[in-house]
Formats: sequence, C-alpha cells, structure tokens
Amino acid sequence: MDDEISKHIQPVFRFAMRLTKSDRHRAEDLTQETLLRAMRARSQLSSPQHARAWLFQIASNLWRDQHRRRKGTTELTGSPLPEQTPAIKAEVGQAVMLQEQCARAIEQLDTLPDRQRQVLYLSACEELSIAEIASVLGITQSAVKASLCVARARMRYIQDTYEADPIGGKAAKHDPT
Amino acid sequence: MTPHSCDQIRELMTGPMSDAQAISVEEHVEHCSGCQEHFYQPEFPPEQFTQRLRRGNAAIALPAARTAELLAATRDASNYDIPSRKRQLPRTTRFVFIAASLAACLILALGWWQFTRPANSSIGLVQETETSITRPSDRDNTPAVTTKKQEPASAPPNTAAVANTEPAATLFVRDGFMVADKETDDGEIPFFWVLPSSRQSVH
Repeated sequence: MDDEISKHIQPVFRFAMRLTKSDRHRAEDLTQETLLRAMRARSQLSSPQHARAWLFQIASNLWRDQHRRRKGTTELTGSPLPEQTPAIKAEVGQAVMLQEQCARAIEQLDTLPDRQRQVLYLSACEELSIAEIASVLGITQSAVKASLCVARARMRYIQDTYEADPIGGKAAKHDPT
Repeated sequence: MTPHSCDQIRELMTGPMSDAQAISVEEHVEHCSGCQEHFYQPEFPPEQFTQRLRRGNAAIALPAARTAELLAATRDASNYDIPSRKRQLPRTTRFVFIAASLAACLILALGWWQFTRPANSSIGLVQETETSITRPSDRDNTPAVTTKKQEPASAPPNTAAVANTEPAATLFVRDGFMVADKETDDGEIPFFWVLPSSRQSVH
C-alpha cells in the first residue's frame, strides 16, 4: 500500500507546486506531509485506482489548513516571469520557445485565484472528472463547472493578449480593469 | 458587489477580469443553469493553453535523488509515529508465542499436580491388616524368617530350639508405617516407613 501511495509522488509534487504557486520548498514540504498523512491513513483508501485523487484531496486539505494558519502574514508569491526582449526570442530555437511557452502557461495559471487555478489544473493537467475534482476540493460539481468556465475564459484572454503583445500583455493580465 | 445579469456575465467572460470580478462571475455561473449550460463544454478539444499547461506541468519534477530522500524520510517518520506498528510482531510469531506459553503453563500445572498428589492409588490398596513375621531370637541367633529351618534328614530334630522360640512380633501397617506391637529389649517400638511403591506388596 505504501508503494501504491509513493508512486504518485510526482503528481502530488506538481499539484503542490500549483497550490503553492511554484514555491518549490513549500511544495516539497507539502508533498512530504501529504505522503505522511496518506501512509498513516492508508486504511481509508478504498481502492488503488482512487489513490491519486485521494492524495490530491489530502494535499488540498493540508494546504487549506496551512493557508488558514498563515492568514494575516505576508503571502509569498512565485518568481516573476523573466523579461524577454524580441531580440533574445529570435535567437532561441523552436524547442526552447515551446518550452518557454509551456513554462509561461504554468506561470499564467498561477495568477488565477486559488479555486480557479486548482480546478483548471486538475481538469487540464491531471484530467480528473468534475466529480473527482469536486471530491478533491470539497465543493459542489456546479461550483467546479463555474470555476472551470471562468478559469478557461481568463486563461484564454491572458494568452491571447500575451500573443498579441508580449510585453503589454504581461502587464495587462495583472491589471485587467 | 452588485449581482450581474446573464448578459453582463457573458460580456465579462470575453474580456479582462479582476480577481474580484472573476469570483463574482463564478458565483453567478454556479447558481445559473442557463449560464452554466452556455459556458461549460464538457467535451471540447484541448485548447492551446491546455496543451501548453500539460507540457509545462510534465516538465516539473522532483529529481530522483530528492524523491528518494523524501520517500525515505516519509517512511521513517511514518514508522516512528506509529510505535504500536513498530513493536507489533507478525501474526504467526504471535500465535507461536502464545501457543508455546500455553503449553509451558500446561506442563507446569501437570507437574505440580503430579508432585503434590498423595499416593492414594498405592495407599488405597494397603489395608490395615496384621502382618506376622518372625523376629530373630536373641538367644540362638536364628535368621528372621518364617520358614522352618531345613535340617538334614539324618539329623534328629532340634526340639529345644523350637521350644525356646519366643512368639513372633506383630507388625501393623498404619498411616504408611509398619509398627511393631511389642517393644524391643531396649524398650523401643520399631517402625518402618513403607515406600508407596512397595505398599502394594505388603499385605
């Protein structure tokens, strides 16, 4: 059973990275705490097929608890996107460009509010169903659908704006009004 | 914030939104089936940002060394935190241990019972009966036997010796002892302890 839990360490770490907005140290701590809680409560896992969603649920609950405890303290944010001039962009190859776009998409995802970010991540990256996401985050399926609609709309807008104007688009996503 | 109409929501969804606006829109869509139906597409082809998100997410990983470190630390912590689990013996070992303990107790109990049991089986057979044996005479030193001394056929019988023989002492079996009914010349009453194993043969 421990192996069943520990084989999901990478997905749990990635989810923790999204919860912590790319704070690697916190993500590692959260991953470890999640696995520890899971090993202690391994009897609650009904079947190995649900292990991943169950681990996400533990991570989400832990993060929520930690967030509640930290309330009032200064929230750390992820590192800002590196500035890229058109000259540098022209020099890098296609693969590197794609890699940058993917990394940027992840960072753009981190700009969304907590629930929208988590719902979009679990849907797009982990391909969980609406019911599974609702179970992981402890919300209704309607709330999941609503968050997903808004998150997609916002990501679409941020990406389109960035594609149209890479320098101005980055500023626009932080100040939409 | 004032509640939005469905038209306002649809307009907001296509433009820039602040976090506060996004949360407000989210709340509306959550409770408005019309808007939910309009916006939510369960089966849609992955958009460009979805593909980028997936690729970007796949690139995030814990290095193998760090993963092993983290797992080892987690396992250690998991074992350390559950002392009962650490001390618990395997089920087979526990069963063998309990069975051996029971067997040892049984053997000890049987041993104790056997040791403290009175030898009733032997005593029961011994009845308090009179046993006559002859006692060696102090005068002629004849052996303490009940059988008559065999004399050669040619020799005349020693009538004097027979006449001088004192009456035999009588022994009683009582409480595991053979007690004589007569005193010796020293004024003592001889008695013998009869071993339980030999009581049966004494009648």
